[in-house]
This record gives sequence, C-alpha cells and structure tokens, in this order.
Amino acid sequence: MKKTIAIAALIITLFSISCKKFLDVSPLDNVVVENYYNNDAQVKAALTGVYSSFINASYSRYMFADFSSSDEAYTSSGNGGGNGLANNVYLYQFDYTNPVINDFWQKLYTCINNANLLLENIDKANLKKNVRDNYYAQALFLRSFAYYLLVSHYGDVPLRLKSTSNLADISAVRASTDVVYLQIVNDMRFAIDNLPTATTLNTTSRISKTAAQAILARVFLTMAGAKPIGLANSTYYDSVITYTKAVVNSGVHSLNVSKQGVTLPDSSYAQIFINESQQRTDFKECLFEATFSGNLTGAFTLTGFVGYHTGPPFAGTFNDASIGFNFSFVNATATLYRLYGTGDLRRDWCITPYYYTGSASNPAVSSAGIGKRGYDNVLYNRYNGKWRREFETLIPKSRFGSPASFPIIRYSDVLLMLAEAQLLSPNGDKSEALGYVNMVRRRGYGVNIATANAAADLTSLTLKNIMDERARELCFEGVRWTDLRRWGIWKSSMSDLLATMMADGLASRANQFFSLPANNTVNFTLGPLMAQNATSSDKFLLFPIPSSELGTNSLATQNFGW
Amino acid sequence: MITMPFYRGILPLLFLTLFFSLVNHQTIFCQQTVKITGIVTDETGKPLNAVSVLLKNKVNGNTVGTQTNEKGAYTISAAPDNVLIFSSVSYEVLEVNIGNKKVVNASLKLKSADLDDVVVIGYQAVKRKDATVAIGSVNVDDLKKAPVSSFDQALAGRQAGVQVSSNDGQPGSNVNIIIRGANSISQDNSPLYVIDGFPREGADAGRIDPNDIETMDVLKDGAATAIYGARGANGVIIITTKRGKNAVPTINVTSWVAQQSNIKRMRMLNNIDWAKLQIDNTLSTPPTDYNNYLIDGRPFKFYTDSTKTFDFQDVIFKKAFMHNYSISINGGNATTQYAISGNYLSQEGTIINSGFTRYSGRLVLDQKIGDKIKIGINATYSYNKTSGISPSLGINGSSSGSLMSSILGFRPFVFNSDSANNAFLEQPIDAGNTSSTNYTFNPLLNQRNLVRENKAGNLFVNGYLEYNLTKRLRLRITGGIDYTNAQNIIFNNENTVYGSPFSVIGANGPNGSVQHVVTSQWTNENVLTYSLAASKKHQLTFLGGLSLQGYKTSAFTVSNSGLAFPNLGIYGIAQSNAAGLVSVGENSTLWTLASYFGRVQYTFLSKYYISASVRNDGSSKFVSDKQWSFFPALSLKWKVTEEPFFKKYKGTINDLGIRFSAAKSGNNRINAFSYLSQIASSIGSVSNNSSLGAFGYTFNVGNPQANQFPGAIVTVMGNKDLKWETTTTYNLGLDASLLKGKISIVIDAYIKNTNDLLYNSPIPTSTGFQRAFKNIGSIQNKGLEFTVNTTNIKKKNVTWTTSFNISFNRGKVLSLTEGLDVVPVTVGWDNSYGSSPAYLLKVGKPLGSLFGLVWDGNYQFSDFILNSSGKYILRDNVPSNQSSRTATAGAAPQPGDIKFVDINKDGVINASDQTVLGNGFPLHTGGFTNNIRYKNFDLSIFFQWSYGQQVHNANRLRYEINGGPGNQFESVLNRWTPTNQNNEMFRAGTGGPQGPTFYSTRTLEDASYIRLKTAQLAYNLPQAIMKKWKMKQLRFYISGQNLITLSKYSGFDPEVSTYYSVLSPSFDWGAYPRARVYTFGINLTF
Repeated sequence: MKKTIAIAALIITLFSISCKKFLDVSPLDNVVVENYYNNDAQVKAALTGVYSSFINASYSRYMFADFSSSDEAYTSSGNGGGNGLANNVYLYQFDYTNPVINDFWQKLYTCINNANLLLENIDKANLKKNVRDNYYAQALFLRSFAYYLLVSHYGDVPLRLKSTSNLADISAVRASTDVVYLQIVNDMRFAIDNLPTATTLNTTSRISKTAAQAILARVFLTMAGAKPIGLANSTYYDSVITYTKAVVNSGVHSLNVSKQGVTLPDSSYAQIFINESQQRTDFKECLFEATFSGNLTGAFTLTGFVGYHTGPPFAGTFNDASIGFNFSFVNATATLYRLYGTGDLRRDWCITPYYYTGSASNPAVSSAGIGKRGYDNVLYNRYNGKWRREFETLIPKSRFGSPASFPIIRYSDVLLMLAEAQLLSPNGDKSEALGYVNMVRRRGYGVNIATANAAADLTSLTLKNIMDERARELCFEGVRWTDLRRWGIWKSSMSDLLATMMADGLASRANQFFSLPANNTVNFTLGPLMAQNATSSDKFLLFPIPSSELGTNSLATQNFGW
Repeated sequence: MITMPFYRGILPLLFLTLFFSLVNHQTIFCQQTVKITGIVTDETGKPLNAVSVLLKNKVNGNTVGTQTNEKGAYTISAAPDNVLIFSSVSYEVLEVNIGNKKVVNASLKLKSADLDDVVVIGYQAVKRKDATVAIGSVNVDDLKKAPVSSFDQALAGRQAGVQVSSNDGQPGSNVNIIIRGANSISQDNSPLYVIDGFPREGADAGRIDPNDIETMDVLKDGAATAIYGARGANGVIIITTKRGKNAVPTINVTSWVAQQSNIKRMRMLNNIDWAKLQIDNTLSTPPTDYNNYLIDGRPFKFYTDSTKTFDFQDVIFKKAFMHNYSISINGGNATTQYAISGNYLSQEGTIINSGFTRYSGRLVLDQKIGDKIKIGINATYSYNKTSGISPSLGINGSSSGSLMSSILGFRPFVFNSDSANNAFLEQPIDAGNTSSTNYTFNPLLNQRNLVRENKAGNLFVNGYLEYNLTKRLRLRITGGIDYTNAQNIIFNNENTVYGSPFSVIGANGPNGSVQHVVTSQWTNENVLTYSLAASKKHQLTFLGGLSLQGYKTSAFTVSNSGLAFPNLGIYGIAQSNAAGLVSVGENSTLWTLASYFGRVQYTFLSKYYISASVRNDGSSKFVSDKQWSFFPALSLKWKVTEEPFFKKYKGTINDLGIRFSAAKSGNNRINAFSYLSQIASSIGSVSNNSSLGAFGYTFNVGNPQANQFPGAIVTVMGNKDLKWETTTTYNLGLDASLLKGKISIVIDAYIKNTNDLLYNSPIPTSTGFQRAFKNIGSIQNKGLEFTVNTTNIKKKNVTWTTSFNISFNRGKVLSLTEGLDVVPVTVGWDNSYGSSPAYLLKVGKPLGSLFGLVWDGNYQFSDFILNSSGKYILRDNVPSNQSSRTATAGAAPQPGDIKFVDINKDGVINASDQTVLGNGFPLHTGGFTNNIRYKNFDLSIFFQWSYGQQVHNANRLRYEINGGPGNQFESVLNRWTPTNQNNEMFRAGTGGPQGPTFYSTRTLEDASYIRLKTAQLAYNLPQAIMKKWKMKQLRFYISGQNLITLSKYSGFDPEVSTYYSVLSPSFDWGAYPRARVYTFGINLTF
C-alpha cells in the first residue's frame, strides 16, 4: 500500500511541474492587439486600416448608388443593388434587415473601433511628437467623419469613444444627435489644428487641414438644417462661413479650369471626373476623395464601383481593353435633366447622351442625343455619366471593378456651402454669395470663371437657386440625400418627382423586356414606384437602426416609423 | 560502462524475451503428463470445429494449445493439476480442471449479446452487468454487413440515443452523429472518439477499415463520459480495433463488389413546357408574336419543331462501381500476439468524376515481458483520396454556381440535328443566360474537366506499457501520435465554370491551387489501477491518471491563374501567362490539454454498486485563470435480482438492475485563441459582397497601383471571460434480462442541462464587430431510450434474433444572455436569402427551430377590386406581400401571386411576420434488426427510421419559382393562371409573384422516413467441405443498402443536411443524390 501511494505521488508530482507552462501557448499566425502599435510602421498600417473603411462599401458603392435614389436619380433595373426587388434601398422598399443598411452601419463602426484602438495605443510607439500628432489627428478626424455619416443617415447613434474591449457590457444607448455633433465638431477642430496642409500632402487621398475644414463646414451646414438629421439651428451658418472661408483664404484650392480636349463634351468640369477615372491627383479641386486603384489582376485589388455602376452602360468582356464592362444601375431623372439651362456643359456630362453598342472588340457609340432604346422620347433612360470607363487608362478593365476614385468633397461644394451660409445667416454677405455661385456656374458653362457672363450668371440669389445649383454641380456625388433632408424638402421633392414622372407617362412603361447591352431589364415603372414609396412615409427621413444592432444591443431603440 | 547506450542494453533484452516466448510454445513439460481427449459441442450437442483448447500449467503458468477438428474432437497432453481452457469466438470461455479425468468433453454456451459482455467505460473495462452507467455496445458484426466505406455510414439506427444522419450521398460526405440530443451550439456536437485509447475530436472514419473494428461502445450518460471531462459532454464513442490472439494464425479475406445507383431523380420540365414558361414569365397576356419574348430570340415554334428534351441528369448521374478487399492475419502465443491487416476500397460516385479510395495497412503487436510487463503497439497507415466537388457549392454566394444547379437548371433541350446537338453539349454556357450573377455552366463539360482531389496520408500509432507494480497495482502508460499529411488540389481548366473565358468568374483563365495541410496530434496518458483484495462481500478498485494532449495544424495554400499550359493540369501551376496572379494563404493553430482524473468503484455483496469519478481539465483555449475546470460524476446501481425477496421471480427475471447517475462534463470546441483580440494586416480587396473587404488603402501620389498600402485592422474580438461550457446530466436506467437471457431490455431516461453555451455570437455591430465567442445561455435535453434484444428461436438448424431500439429526445433553449432574445441563423446557400434566417435559436424553443413565413396559398381574384382603369387593387383587409399595396408599377400583388399569413396583422408581409415553423431534429429515431439463420444460410434485415424532422427544401426556392432562364421542376406546370386558379403554385413571372425572399412553409417538408437500410443474405459452405478444402469458413453473400425508402419528401432523399450545423440541421440545397447499393461478397477464413 505504501509503495502504491509512493508511486502514485511520484507520477503526479512529476506531471504537475510542467502543467502550467504546458497550457501557455500563443497564436501561430496572428498578432495579438496587445503586441501591436509598437512602432511607426505598425501605427501607419493601423491608420491605413482606418482609411480603408471609406473605400469599403460606403464610398465604393452605397453613397453614390444604393442611396442615390432621389429627385436626381433612380434605378430602372430590377437588378439594382442585387438585393432583389423585395428588399431594395434603391426603391425605398426595404426594412431594418436590409443588408446594405446593415453593412453601411457596420463598416462605419468598424472604422470607429479601429480608430479608437489607434488613438488609445499610439503612445506605445516611440514617435516624434509632430508625427504622432499628425497620425492622431488623422485617426480622430476619420472617426468623426464616420460619426457624421452615421448621424446624418441614422439620427441618434451609439457614441463609442473607447475601443471595444469587454464583451460583458456592450449594449449602448443611442446618443442624441446634438451630443454626437458636439463630439464631431470638437474632434474635427482638434484635428484641424494638427493636420498638414494639402500642399504638403500633395494627394487627394489623405485628409489635409483644408479638407478637414471643408468637411467640418459640411457638418455645420447639416447641423444648421432641419431635423431629424440636423439641429435646426441657424447660428451654425456662421461656423459654415468661418470654415469655408478658411479654405477659400488658404489659397491652396481653386476650381479646375483646365481641360485635355476630349471629344465629348470638352469641358473643364468633365475634366475633374476624367482625372478621377485616370487616377490623377488634383487636390486643388478635389479636397478629399475615396481613392481606388487596380483592376483586379494580380495584387491590385482595391477597386471600387465608381465608373462601373455609373457611366454609359456597356456589355464589355471580362478584362476589356476598350470601353470596359459597365452595369450602370443609376439612371438620371428628367427632373435633373431639365434643371440645366441652355449652354450648361455639365448636363451632357452628368447625364449620358449616348450609350455603347457592339462588342468589346468593336464597340460603337450610339448616335448622340438618343440615349434610350425603344423609347426615344423618354429622358429617363439616361444614366449617370460622371465617371466614364472609356477614359480609364488602366488596362485591362476588369469586369468587376474600376480604379476610378470618388470625390468626397470638392472646391465647388465649398463655394456653394459658403454661398448658402452667407445667404441664410443674418451676418452673411449676400453679394459675395452670388459671386461664388456664379463662379461655379461659369465653369459649368465653360466660360472664364472670373469674368461676368450673361448666359451663365445669375443676377440674384435665392435658396432655390442654390438648391438647384447644388443638384447641377454635385449630382451623383452622394450629397443629395443629405441636402434634401436638411432643407426639409425631402418629401415635397419626392412628391414633385412622382408627379413629374406620372406626367411623363412613366407609369405605363412597365415590364419592357428586351435585352440591354449590360443584360439589364429596363422597367421604367421602378421610377414612379420609388417616388411613391419614398413619399409613403416620413420614416425615410432616417434609415432604420439595422437589425444587426437592434437584435443584440438591449439598449438600442428603433427610429420612428420603422 | 555506466554510460552504456540505452539501446545496447535494451534491444538484446527484447530479442531474448521474444525468443524465449516463442520457444516456450514448444516447451515439453517435465511434469508427468497423460493424454487427454474429448469432444467439444455447442449447447445443442453439435460438434464445434476450430475451438481453441489451451492447457494452463498451474505451476509455471505456461500454456500450450491445440484445436478441435471438424468432429469437435481434440487431443492434448496434460498433467492432472492442469486446467483446460476452451474458447471460440462466439462462445463463452469454459475452464475445466482435469484432475484424474482422461476424457474431458465440453459444451460451450453461445455468447449472448447482453449482460455478460464486457464494455469499456473509459480507461477500464467492466462486465455489462456491473456497469453503473448507460453504455451502448454497437453490434459490430451487424454493422459490418452494410456495404459502406466507413463505419459511421452504417451507424444510424444501431444504437438507442445515437442519432446519425449524413449530409448527403457524396462519397466521403460528412456523417453527423449526435448522442442524446445536441447540447452545444458551438460548431461541433459530434462525440469524442477514443480509438484504441487515443481521444480525438473527430472520427475521421474514412481512414478506418470497418473490418478492423473489434468493439464499439457508446458512452451516453454523463457519469460515463465525465472521466473524459472537458470533452465528454457530447458523448464518447470508444472504438477498439482487433488485436492478436493466443491461437494458431487465422487468415481472413473479405472481398465485395457493389453497384450503386441513385435512388431517385428529379422530374424537370421538358423543352416545350420550358419554352411556354419563358413566355409566361414575361407576359401576363399571351402575345401574338412570340419572337421577342424568348430570351434567345427564337420563336416558340422553333422549340416545338426543332428541339427535343435533354436532361443533364441522364449524362451526369451514372451507375457506379465500388469494391473492397480486406485481408487480415491474426495469431500469436501466450506471450506474443500479432495482427496484420490491409485494406483497399474504391468507390466511384454516382455523379461522374467523384469518388473515394482508401488504402490502409495495420500492424498490431502485443508482447509480454516476464510476469509483470506487457507492451504493445498498434500502427495504422491509411491513404485516402476523395475526389469530386460538392454539388451544392455555390460561387460568390450565388446558388446558381453550384453543380447541381447547372445539372437541373440548364435549359432542357437539344436541337434535332445531331451535329448541332453535339455542339450544344460542348457549349460552355447557356445561350440565354448572360446575367452577371448567374453562374450556370454546362455541367457535363465542367464536371469532366475540373479536378478536386483531397489526398490524405495518416499515420496513427499508439503504444502502451503495462507494468504490474505489485500484485494489485498496475501502471499503464500509453502514448500515441496521429499525423496527417494532406494535399488538397483544385484545378480548373478553360472548360470549367471557374476557368472558362465565357464564365462570369473565369476571367483569369485556367487556374489551380494546392493546399498542404499537416495536422499532428499527440497524447500521453498514465493510469494507475489498484484493486483491493476481492472478497465475497466487498470489491473495490481505484483508478487514477494523468493525461497530456497536444494538437497543431498548419495549412499553406498556393494558387495561380492564367495558367499557360492547362493540359499539364495542376503540375502547370507555376507557369502563368500573367504576372502577379500567384497568391499564398496560410492558416495554422494549436492547442494543448492537460488533465488529472480518478475513479473509485465499490461493490457490496454484488448487489449495491457505487462509482465516483473526478476529472480536472486544463485547456489552452482559455485565459489562464479560466483554464481549469472540475468535472465530477457519481453513479449508483442496485441489483434487484440479488435481493432475497426477489428469489421467487428469478426464474423469469434473471437479472434486473436499476441505475442512477449524476455528472458534469464539458465542451471546449471553440477556435483555439478566441480569448485574444487579433490583428491582421493585408491589402485585401473591395467588393460589394460585404463579407470581403479592404484592409488597405491607396495614397494617390504617382502611380496609385504602386501605392496600395496594407492596413492593419482588428479581425477577431477576443473575449477574456470565455469559460468552459458544462453539461450536467442525470440518468435513470434499467437493465433486465428475462427468460434465461432470451429477452434483454435496457431503458434509460435522462435530463441534460448545458450551461455557459459557447457560441460565436452576434454582438452589436456598433462595437465594430459582427460576432465574438461568448458564453451565451443554456439548453436542456430530455430523453427516453429503449432497447430490446430477443432471441426468438435458438435451435440446431434455426436461430432468429431481433434487436429493436427507439430514442426520443426533446431539446429546448432555456435561456440566452445579454439582451439576446433570439439568435437568427442564416444559411449561405444563396445571396438573396443571405439575411433571411432559416433557423432560430429562441428561448423556449428547440435547437434547429425552422423559421420563416406561413404560406397561405395564392392571391385569388376575390382578394382584389378591379378598378376603373382595369387594374387589380388589393382589398383593404387583405395583407400585401410587397411593401406597397397599390403601387403604380407592377410591385403590388396581383392575382396568382404567392400569399402569406400576416402574423402581426399590420397589413404587410415582411420580416416581422416570420415565426417558428417547425423542428429540424426528429422526434424519434430508431432501428430494427432481424438476424435469421437457417442451416448454412443467414439473413439479416435492418430497418432504420427517423420521424418528425422537417427540411427546408431550398431546391424548390430555385426550381419552383416560375422565373429566370433556367429549367424548373415539373411541379410548376400546375402554376396559377386565370384558367387554373389554385392555391398550390403561384403564377409565372420574374420577381413579384414569388414574394419576398423569406423562407416559408411552402417549401418546408416533412422528411420523416423509414428505410430498409441494410439487408444481407449469406451462405456458409458446410464444414465438411471446409475440412476438405482446409479452410475454416467460406461465406458468400449478397447485400443491399438503402433498398427501400418510405417518405413523403419530394427531394432526392429525406436524409439530407447540406449546410449541417446543430443550428441548421435540416437544409436541402443541391444535395448529392443518395445511392442504392447492391453488393456481392466473399468472406474466407483459413
């Protein structure tokens, strides 16, 4: 018996010694968060990861495609967005389970969490103070920008200013819009003080001091606007003036007036977007953009859907060296078309006056002015034409994405924001406002922006003028959604659109089944359907809080009407 | 000399030992011996051939042996104090003291498969009648009658409480085994397998030749599994393979050939009906000119005049061949025993270019060294090759990319002229299909050309050393390695959907990838057993042990596209026409597990039994202060028949025991480092498919392509609070043996509560993550199991035995934590259903609860008002299946559209109208076996059933939608039209008529079935002939598998689960059809 116990004891002892260490193993192929952010390269990569959020989903597709349906755009394709007709944001026929509504939210919060981690851990790396402050400011700005996109689309949202570290306590209440805006404004102000100038950066892809000022102005403009996305407080127009003026007075930015001499139509306005398609950086006009690149061959994978969901449709092949395959889900409305005056060169650039026929080996441009198949008198069969793949220079052109970049904020937007604030603020200089609007208009008409021009110039300025000018200048650039709502005219605009569409006889253009170049089936009745759905409820002033949040966050509430 | 190398000392010793042990066999006893003769018979008096007769010398412990001849006679020299031991495979061992006898006749009792058997309870074996816990022993002989490639495929219905279902009929397809209801919602609910003492979390049954299996015991209740602690909660299957025997060498050869053919094929539309459907899809009123209305621009007349029906099922499905050869040699003497076996199995699939092949070899050696030491080794090498693509596998989340979708969904016609016809069969894509999201591709071309090969070599070696330290104390040290080296090859040439320039995803041309996976697992266990001196009154044994286990796997993948020489196959992977297409992948992980365990068993008067065990497990999968957990168990048994008051009944009820047990066991099957937040750094890619994404970004200065920078983002949200999932089980059981063992009955009832469920749980996306591993709630399973084995006839020429079992299990979710009312479960078969839950985890409902809308037939004219402009407008009291009721455009419901029940009465059918529709798990399952022997014939018939489970038949969501260019099931002929108003099949048309993309009761089907699973008729050649041929046994048989299936299910087969997880147990999309198998086999022993 003694022997038994002795042997057993011996074995147990021998074994126990190594046990603790035996269980102490580390992952083979992943870095643990605690062991990261240790040097410049790691912080830089983390910052790049924060930037990547904006080419993921939001500015690669949603901002200019899924969320574009309004008085400027709709989809005539049942395939639009690929979610089927039943659950489709394009058609305002969706609910809180919609994958786009979920994904947009989730990607922005992924950005916020990654930014929070960077902000919390940056001091682990031994960086020079100015380098550290620059990284810090960029991350802080991008987090604020993500919050701006959230608050302006979803209203009250959870305000998470610390990274998620503990799963035990992860439910969060939705902070009210004024609290979120206050945080955004403070953080952006802090960032602006620490960001380098656009001239130093010499790129449109990184946030500069003036770009941050311009976006902060956009935030203030939204705050000044109507509820629920704004705070309905007109005192913020003065802040808009302050920050837009700062951009204007920096002397770094200007309207692009150069052009390359392309055949159709030759304008410096078009050149802005040709630059985007040709991957040229132009920080004077484009203060900040979502930069895409590559053509999905080999390692070059950071393509977007700019120039792929937009532009004249074409059934190219898979890796096409000519025009490039283009799905074109986004149609322009006749309402937008009719906004342009005679001589305004922007119209036929923004709205395609042609499409492509033929095959990849032998593409042909349809005769100019047609832009429609079967129904020559239907303006609704024209597409968003700002980014046109024929101008892309990266060959081959992938069937599944395009390297064209997307401008998040342009100098003409800064001028129009400044004009709008000057018009609406009691302290604004109204005559200066008219000057800024006319500068933008003159460029659109292809005349000298510094010289008065009877055809292009307005003689007086109303808010309606600015509303329309913004549509003409900034259509399809992802700002209409916010603009209509902050002006408080969302529902009335959509009612007007419905009436126009009905008057244009669109409702009888149902189920026109014939094959298009991109194999989409055109159904023009999707236009009135969209408009009718959009006016059916006030709930569309905000997106619903998505199901992925609502089902798991016990403190979350749903927006009205959803 | 002290430093003499180890091997120099040990090796000669080993050889010497081996030598003496062999010599011993021949030793002539010095003691005075006499010649003993005798006849050995069975209980009916029939002489028994080949019975082993061993002589045990009480003085020196040596043994010597002989065998009976065909007359049952034997002769042996023995001393009076020797003992004769008679043994034969299916008979009980008999020991006889010789004394002064010269003639020793023996009558051997048939072994009955019941209470006298030995069962393995984990680290120990006990007699079944002494077992205090619920253990099932699978009748391995019956199991082997099924012509299958691996044992798990034949396990369904064999054992009460063990629910077995296979994903589908693909060779090498997964078999899902759940013991006593799913008690975990983490990825894996399969039991722990202990194969020759080596615990493994998967059976990898395909590696094991079923012929090598000696016994298979299923530990069901918690007290039985608790000795495996942390990993025992899902139940334990203990498999012991055959070892050598102290007998003359026996050679066994088993060979069978089989033909497999699909049980069923689907009925699709013919050419004319398909063309009609195309027209109906596009127009609500018949056209005058059909030309414009068919997608390919051909007039309807073309189809009636110039085409004939073609169904790809005719050329893709085939009769397939399967054959198996096993050979084994068994033998040894008292000190050295060996077993050698080899197996080759080759199975073609019933879909062309798919199959399974296995080569395996095994060597088992047991050696006694002196009186105290015994060592042994068991080494198996197997090489398996599985080929063929899963027919349900989609592309980019689209179901149209799957092989089955192309087989059934391709346009169903060929041209009348043969040349055009051949051209059609060679054309890669359907001319009418040019959508960018439809991946339909000529399945014949595709299937002939693609290569999917999974080749795995596995070395499984374990050894033991048993050392009797004292008379009562025994140490057993075991160690083993399990090493798998696998190569997964994917190759797609220009004639496959993945590499064709005509295909949506083949842009980069011929491509391939090779994945190399090395998985190694090792274990070391050290067990001490101590048995107290046995007395009539008390029996006491102790067991204590220590166990260490480690696991590591690493996978490296290289892939390339644009291959320059596709005719070289995968060997051309290095030569590409384009630069930068090579990509490299990697995925590796490891874990370790350390444990202490112990057990005490005490028996008083062979009447009262008590057994208690503990195990303390430490797992590297948790943060250090959560690593260890304690798993106790207690079980009691009362043998009623041993009580004096029971004596008068003992003639009828020979044995009656009542058992009770309570225990805790665990589950840690989560990813190894779920407790750590992890960062990944790469460029990634942008896609509108949100599951992919960019990590990197381009800083646009100079050439943007050259300025793509990798980004680092957090990809895994670690949870430091993770802890073990624990299951507490209570079991009440009864074992009875009646009428001298003619009837044996086992009844068990149990309750299992699982707490701290581990789950990769959805978390608020505002955290920046979609999911994280959490302990989220608790589940309860309750169940009842009955097993009855009877010997109906037992005569010289006829025996008939019956075995019946049935199990009931009810599971439900007791609680979910953290504001989680429900956990929706989606199935990734198709993007359009990507956000529609097919299943739901909901408090108070069972696991695998099916979810969706309640189907209400079709909208009829009476649901509408015809307005002045001739439009049908939905009546106010009728719910709309679209968000709009009166849309200006076509998106409002029209007569003939699908209709659902408006559960929340808000007038519109949407996500809020979904409800729990049914249960994906069966209400009861069971099996019924009859074995009948008449003279030299024996017949075995095995029925198996599963009742009450429902299946989401997603095939009908694709082939019964009356829309799209592809072919449809024949059932759409009954579609609603103004002249065929019905409530079964909605009208034709794309989009609208089929309603929102939620699952519904329309495509939910009762998949209850009973099938004649296995039948075997065999003939054993008479012993007289055997003797002449110098053989022991020659057996011919024919058998069949899946012979008859009775079920209402409309798909290929009701036993289906193509997206199996415990949360989504019954989903059918693109299942590989199940085959019926006919076999002819020979079994030869000599």
